[in-house]
Order: sequence, then C-alpha cells, then structure tokens
Amino acid sequence: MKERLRQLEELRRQAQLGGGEDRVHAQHEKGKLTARERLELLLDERSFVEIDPFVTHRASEFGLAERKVLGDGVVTGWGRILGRPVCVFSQDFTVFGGSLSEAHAEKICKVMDLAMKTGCPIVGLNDSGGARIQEGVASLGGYAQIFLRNTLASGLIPQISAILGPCAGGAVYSPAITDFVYMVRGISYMFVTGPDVVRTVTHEEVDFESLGGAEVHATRSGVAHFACDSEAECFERIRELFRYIPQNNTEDPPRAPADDPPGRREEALLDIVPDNPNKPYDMHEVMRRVVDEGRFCEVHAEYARNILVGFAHLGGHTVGILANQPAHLAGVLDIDSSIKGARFVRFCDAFNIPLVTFEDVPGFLPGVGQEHGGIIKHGAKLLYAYCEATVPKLTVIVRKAYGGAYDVMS
Amino acid sequence: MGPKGAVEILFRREIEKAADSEKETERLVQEYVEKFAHPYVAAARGYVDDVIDPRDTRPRLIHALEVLKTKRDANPPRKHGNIPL
Repeated sequence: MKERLRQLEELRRQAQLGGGEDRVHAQHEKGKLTARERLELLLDERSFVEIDPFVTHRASEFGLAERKVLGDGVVTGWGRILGRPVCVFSQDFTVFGGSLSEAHAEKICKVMDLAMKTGCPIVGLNDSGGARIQEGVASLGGYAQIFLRNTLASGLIPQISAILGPCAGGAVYSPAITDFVYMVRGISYMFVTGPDVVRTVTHEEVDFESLGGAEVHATRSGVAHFACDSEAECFERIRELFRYIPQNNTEDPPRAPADDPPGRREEALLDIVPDNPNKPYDMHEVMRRVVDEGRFCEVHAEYARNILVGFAHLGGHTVGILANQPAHLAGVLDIDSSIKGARFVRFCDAFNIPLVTFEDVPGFLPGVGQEHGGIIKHGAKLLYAYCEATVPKLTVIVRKAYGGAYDVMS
Repeated sequence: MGPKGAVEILFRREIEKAADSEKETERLVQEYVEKFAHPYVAAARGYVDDVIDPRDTRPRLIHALEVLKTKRDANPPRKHGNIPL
C-alpha cells in the first residue's frame, strides 16, 4: 500500500509541474503567471480542488505518442470565491502552448457540465495558442463541444472569461458567448485572424496590441468588459463581481450588509444636475451619492461612454444600474451604447437583478453613419431588452427624456 | 427633442412670417416650456409615479425595491423571442 501511495504522490508531483521548469520560467519571463498560480490568486485560500489531473491526450501522429503531459494543458476543478462555490478551468501555456486537444476539451466540457448541473458560476482562464494542429478535426470538434455548452449555459449560470495570453481564431467564440470578458494590458490578445493574415489579405499593417489588445477591445470593439493593468488586478476584479451576481438563474443575487443608512438624504443632489438641460455633468456623481457607500462596479467603463452600466447595492440589495452620461456625447443613444445597454439589461434580467435606470437623454445621435450602421435595429435591441425584462424596473428621470429615447430607456 | 426643436417644427410658418423671427421663437419656446417641459404632464397621466425631491432619491429607490421584492411577472411561453440582431 505504501508503495502505491508513493506512486500516486509521484504522479501528482509530475502533474503539478505542467510543461516543466524551463517553460514555467519562460512563462514568468513574459510577465505571465502559470495556470496554477492564477487559480491561487482567483480563488479563496486553499479552496481549489482539482479534477482530472491525470488526463492525457490520445494522439499518436507527429510523434505525439511519446509526448504526453499529465493534465494535457488545462487545470480544471472547483473552488470558492467569497465563500461561494465556483467551477474553474485554467489553460496551461507551458504544455503544448496551452493548445486545445480532444482530451483538453473534454476536461473543460466536464467541468462546464458540472457547473451547469450544480448551478454554480464558471470562470475560464484562457491562455492558449489555439487548436492542437496535430489532432486536426478532433481538436475542432473539441471547440464545438465547448461552444455548445457555453450557449446552453447562457442565462443559467454566470460565465466569466479572463484572457491571459493569446486567444485567436475560433477559440475567441467561447469567451465571446460568456457574460463577462476580462483582459490584461500587454499580455492578452483576441482576434479571429492575426496580423499576418490581415497583412496578406487586406494589406493593412497592424500589430498584436492594436489589432486585438486589451485597450482596443475595452474601448472600441466592446468585446472586453474589463481591461486590467495586471493579472492580480484582474483576479481582484473578478472576485469583486461576485459581490453582485447570483449562483444561477434560480437564486437571488447576494445581499450586502446595509451599513449605509437606507433613509440617507443627499443635499448634494440639489446642485450636481444643472438646470440648463444642455449643460453637461458627470452622471457618476449622481449615482455615487445614491448607492450604498458610493460603490459602483462599472462594466464596459471605457466603451460607449455615453451610457453607464454596472452593479451596485441599494439598501443591501444588488441592482443593475443603467444611466445616460451627459458628460460624454451629451448622453445621446447611438449604436454602441444601445448594444452595451441591451446586453447588460439581459444579463440582469436572466439573473434576477433589479434594474435601476437614471435617465437624462437628449435623443438618438443623428447622422448618416448611424442610420446606415443600423441604429434602427440596434436601438431596437435596447427597447426589446427592457420590454422583455421581468425583474423590478425603477426609473429616475433625472433631467430630461426626449423623443424615442424616452421610450427605449425603460 | 427639446422645446426649441419642437417649436421650430410646430410653428415654422409663424416664425417665418414674424417680423423678428428670433424673438418670436424665443416667445414660443417659453410658452412651450411652461406648457410641456416639466414632469406634471406625464404625472397627470400616471406615466411617472411621482415627482420627487432629488435629495430623497436614495430612500425612495430603496423603498420601491423592497415593495417590488415579491414581484411576479412572466412573459408568454415560447421557444424564444427574436431580438433584432
């Protein structure tokens, strides 16, 4: 028996090593943490329980039969965030560049199934070179299985993605379906086709960062909801999100201690909003004075800044807040802000989070670009999302609500 | 659309005919503001539930949230809607 236990310990030790010391060193050189270091920062202390550490790939072509690594490039399991159970997977770039094999995909699917069946959120830490080309269609089939689960889990459990390395080609579509995407400046890249292909096909010169870095996706494309300066900050902000979101669609969102007096009146609110309906002011100032302890977890802070969306507590209740932002483009509704608002409303409605809307809107942004870009259908998304939502909806008309925008905003 | 935009459409001819069109616009805007640019038209129809003192925003929202805690509402059953994508 002792001998067998010794063997088990030895295998565990091997699994912990991932791609080996040299590759771990290379990962650190790039300013990146390893898959396991990441889980330690993300989860409550010593809460991580791994499953499938001994899984290996079954490929034999291209010399792969001799190159098997325990775990096959992804660490999966469960742990706790703020004391609540959460399922996780963390891709290990030190093993075959984190590439996705059939077995690797099966591990991810298994933990996603577990998350769905137990009704707990799933957090995916992505750091992968893409498909494991040696496995061909088996790898692509693996992606398809993951996308299917992402889609079926949508609206059942919160799905959160952190991009902590490359995420290219078809691989982007798993995070794209999830509810919140976090990226880290300088190490995260997302694109469907990379700079080389872009150069060949369209003759555009572009580098990784300006094609699909954290900044671009957080400000221009809206693919990323949060852009962070470091991995540590990224994990801290994912944990912060758990103060507001429920475990699944049948549970209520968590309550916060209501230390801020519910009856608190705010004299400052008399002066923040100018009487002149065309004069700008920062809507953050209004919200901070209304919500508990002035704490607002803003989503998509740098994208479509003419609308603000995010989470807060009011008297200890979690709420999703939407607000027009007169300090940016006078707070008009346009294509991007409609899409941003609609997606947020639908997340809140799916997960029983009441909506509070602060409205101060001059109307829709006029222009050929907007009309030809389809503001009719995009604006309709926001309208549709609000209409469809059955959670409690509260609206404060802060100053003005003109035109069609009056209807669309609640 | 704000009061100025509304007036310029509603009274285009009157403004064109007026001796001092700028002054006439200003007068009409003032009239429109007094008639419509306040919450009481919407309040009279029950479109807004109440007109509140800004200082009371927080207590009023929290109170409403507590009342709505037991809200039960469901959309008609269907496979899924077809949000304009």
